[in-house]
Amino acid sequence: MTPLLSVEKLSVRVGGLTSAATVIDDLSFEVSAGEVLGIVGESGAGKSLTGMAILRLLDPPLVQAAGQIRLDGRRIDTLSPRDFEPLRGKHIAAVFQNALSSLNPIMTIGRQLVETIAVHHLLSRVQAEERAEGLLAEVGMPGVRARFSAYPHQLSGGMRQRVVLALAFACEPALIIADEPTSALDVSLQGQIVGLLKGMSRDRGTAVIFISHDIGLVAETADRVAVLYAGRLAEIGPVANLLQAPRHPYTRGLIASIPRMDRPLQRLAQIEGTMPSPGSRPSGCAFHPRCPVAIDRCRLEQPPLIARDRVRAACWLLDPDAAAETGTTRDA
Amino acid sequence: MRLEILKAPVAFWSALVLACLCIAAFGAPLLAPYDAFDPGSANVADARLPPGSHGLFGDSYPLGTDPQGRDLLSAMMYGLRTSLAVGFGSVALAALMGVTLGLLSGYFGGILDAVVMRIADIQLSLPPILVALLIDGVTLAMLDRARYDLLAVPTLILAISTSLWVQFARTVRARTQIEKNKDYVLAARISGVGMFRVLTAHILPNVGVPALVIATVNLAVAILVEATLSFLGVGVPATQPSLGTLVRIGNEFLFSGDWWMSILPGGLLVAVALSINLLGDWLRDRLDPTTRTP
Amino acid sequence: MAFVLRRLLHASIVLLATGFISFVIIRYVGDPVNNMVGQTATLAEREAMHRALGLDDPAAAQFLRFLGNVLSGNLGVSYRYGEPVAKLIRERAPASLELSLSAMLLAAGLGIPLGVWTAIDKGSLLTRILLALSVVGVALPTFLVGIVLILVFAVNLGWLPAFGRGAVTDLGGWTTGLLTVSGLKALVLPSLTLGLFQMTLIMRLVRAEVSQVMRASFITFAVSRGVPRRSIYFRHALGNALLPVITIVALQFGNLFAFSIIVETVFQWPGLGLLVIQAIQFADVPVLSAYLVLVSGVFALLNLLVDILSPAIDPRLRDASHQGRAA
Repeated sequence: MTPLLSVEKLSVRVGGLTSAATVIDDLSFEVSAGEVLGIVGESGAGKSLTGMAILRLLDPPLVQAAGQIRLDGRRIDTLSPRDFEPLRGKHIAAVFQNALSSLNPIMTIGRQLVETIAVHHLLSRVQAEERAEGLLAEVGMPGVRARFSAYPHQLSGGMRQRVVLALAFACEPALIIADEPTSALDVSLQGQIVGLLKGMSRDRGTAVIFISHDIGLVAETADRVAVLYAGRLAEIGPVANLLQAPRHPYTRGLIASIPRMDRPLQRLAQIEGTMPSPGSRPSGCAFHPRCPVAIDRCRLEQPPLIARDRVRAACWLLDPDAAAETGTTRDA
Repeated sequence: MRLEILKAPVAFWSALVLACLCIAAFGAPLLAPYDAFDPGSANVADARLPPGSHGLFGDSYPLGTDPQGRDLLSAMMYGLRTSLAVGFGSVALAALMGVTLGLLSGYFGGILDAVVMRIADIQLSLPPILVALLIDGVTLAMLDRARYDLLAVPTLILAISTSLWVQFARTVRARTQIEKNKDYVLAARISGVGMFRVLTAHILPNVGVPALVIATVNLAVAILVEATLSFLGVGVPATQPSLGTLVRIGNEFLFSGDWWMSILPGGLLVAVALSINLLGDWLRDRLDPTTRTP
Repeated sequence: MAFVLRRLLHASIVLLATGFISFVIIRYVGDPVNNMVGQTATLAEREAMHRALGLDDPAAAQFLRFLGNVLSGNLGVSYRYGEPVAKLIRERAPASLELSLSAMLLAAGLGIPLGVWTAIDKGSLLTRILLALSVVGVALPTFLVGIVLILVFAVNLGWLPAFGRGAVTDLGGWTTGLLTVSGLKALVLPSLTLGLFQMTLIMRLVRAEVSQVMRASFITFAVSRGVPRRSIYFRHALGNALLPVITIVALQFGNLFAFSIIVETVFQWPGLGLLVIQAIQFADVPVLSAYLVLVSGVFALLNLLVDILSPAIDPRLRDASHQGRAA
């Protein structure tokens, strides 16, 4: 069955007069209809940019340099802006991080909802308003009718993000790209919003790409998880596999660094060092300077994605030939 | 930076044009074909000749003559000199007033600051031309003819400066408030450096660049304000005409079709203002990229 | 409500200050007695006039009397015309107002759409031409624009008149030139001249504001939802850009005071501007001092109006807890 979204060897570069750098390199993954794919990684790993590339919202000097993006088998990255317009909202919608700045400050949220609904469905004004009210109720807004004529600044952060969710689902898209949707919220609200996102997408059969730096949150929400490091895919697989048996050393480090409430207090585990910026990636595997189990090959050549069980990871240690080499020296 | 101007043709040509104009203006006594102030050089019989004509006695007038028979080219060069002098002078005085008030306001705060900023706020909503006109006009009404000729230019410069000081004061005040809390100022004060010295030697150099930026913005404004006031008859006295005065004099003959006496000085005025603005834009982009317009 | 009262108080203080300056001018500049009785008056006549004008009273009392006069509409008598200044102002105001309004209509009517266009369609030829023209426009003195227009359209082509208002109709105190062909024709060139600079200003301002708004996150979100481009530009973007634009346009009305002096001089348009310039030339101090009060009154009123209208446009300003621009 064709996957809903298929990203093949995507490369995004930052063009410039004096320097150019690759921010996303040779990224490939798929999203099936109705599934939730989590994309995790540190800041600067290229998670948000992946979402923006799919949405065709890359601002210059960022530009897609290579690769293909297909929706339902059709290529969408080569469409002209005008041809891409009909896909917006109806097929692919987005939820962004900061809800206050996602909402037009001078329009009531009722109007913004009705406008979005009217764009995608042929309804009378009254019908559109009814549907808008239904959506607001679904996202759990107290006092729906009163909220209709409220302005964004009159709502709390949690309520605003619920409105943002309502707006995104109002389009009834096949895919929603949620870029750090809860990062600006209190922890207590995060769970609620994520729960809403998951529930509403399940009810509608909407696929979700959930982008976050918070691996714990992604673990709760996603069916499959992709781990990005320095613009490349490090590991991708079902969430259970990743949590219990991560194959890539980076993923292992990430999982180990999640504070555990079910064990006695310990020191937080860290991955030493920092992720390299786009312009200064090391040779071979980008993670090798920080990797506790790196071998010589890691320094020399970038590993391809190697399948193991139901997981694919870009690590030489999964290659039976490379693993035969002795020594797990850490490079200086 | 000097060499980089070669990369921006607009700025380069503006600078070139401006340089030529300045040389023509300030070198007028040497370069102008006729001394515009010498009554003897004006030949009334040659009045209002179109550009390219020759006078009764064989004098050539490349840009024509004015109503009194003066060579327009020479008159324009001298006029340009007056325009530039008043313009530069006004901006310099405005900068002096504004920077001083800004430094004092920003550093000491208190009542001085409150009063100065109140006045600035009110004045900011008024266009410079209005402020200058009112100050100039009212002062004129107070002086009699004899003293007017003497004091006209200083009054004019004072009036224009008063209309322009506000921007300097506000920016310098803001910078001063930031700078005064910085360590180097504290260090100077602790080591007993006197206030005046702190202000001039330590803080002033740091506010110099923003002040320069504002000066470039306002230079063309000052020149145009002076031209407008002179056109309206309340600017420089007739003994030292500026380009604005020339336009005014020439304007009376517009209906007879003698266009060059007003249009040519006007055109020169626009050329000066435009090249100053273009050069200023380039300078501002290099000195303070935050002011760049998208 | 407290907000409005505060603004009123602020405006009153400003008006008081200008009133004071105005008073100083009219009282101490020149010799009021001289202007009233003429050169040949005897000493006794002068002293009588002196007393009649109340010039012996303490300065504070004179100031209060002055304020009382102003508030009751007595703005003194013009030295030049011998008529009450208030009457002169009333007679000439319609001319200036009609000119200002038509210039403003032109400036906003062209400036706002062009500003939006140049903000959205950044690379197009029209945009580049307009931006280049606007750079030149800032360096063009208004009086020169008027002169050139007169040269082309009045002197050479003869289509439009070069001075005056044309035939005016008296509508019971308000003289209007809008009801006659010659009146309308006479309005064209002056309005163009006055409006051109304003239009350049408005266009650049709208462009800057719209460009800034277009970079906002909510625009990106709206785009991602599939909201059509046209709605994005004109409803979402322009709506948010409008507040600062309207603020500046309203204050520009005050700017018109200054520039109409120039335009009315060039076109001999019988309005307040021409009155003022003649007052300066003839040292007609009462007119000048009245003009000062008038200008500051209008500015104060405009500022107040903008302060009151702002919450109507930007909902964020409506709640007391959100005074001032939200982030």
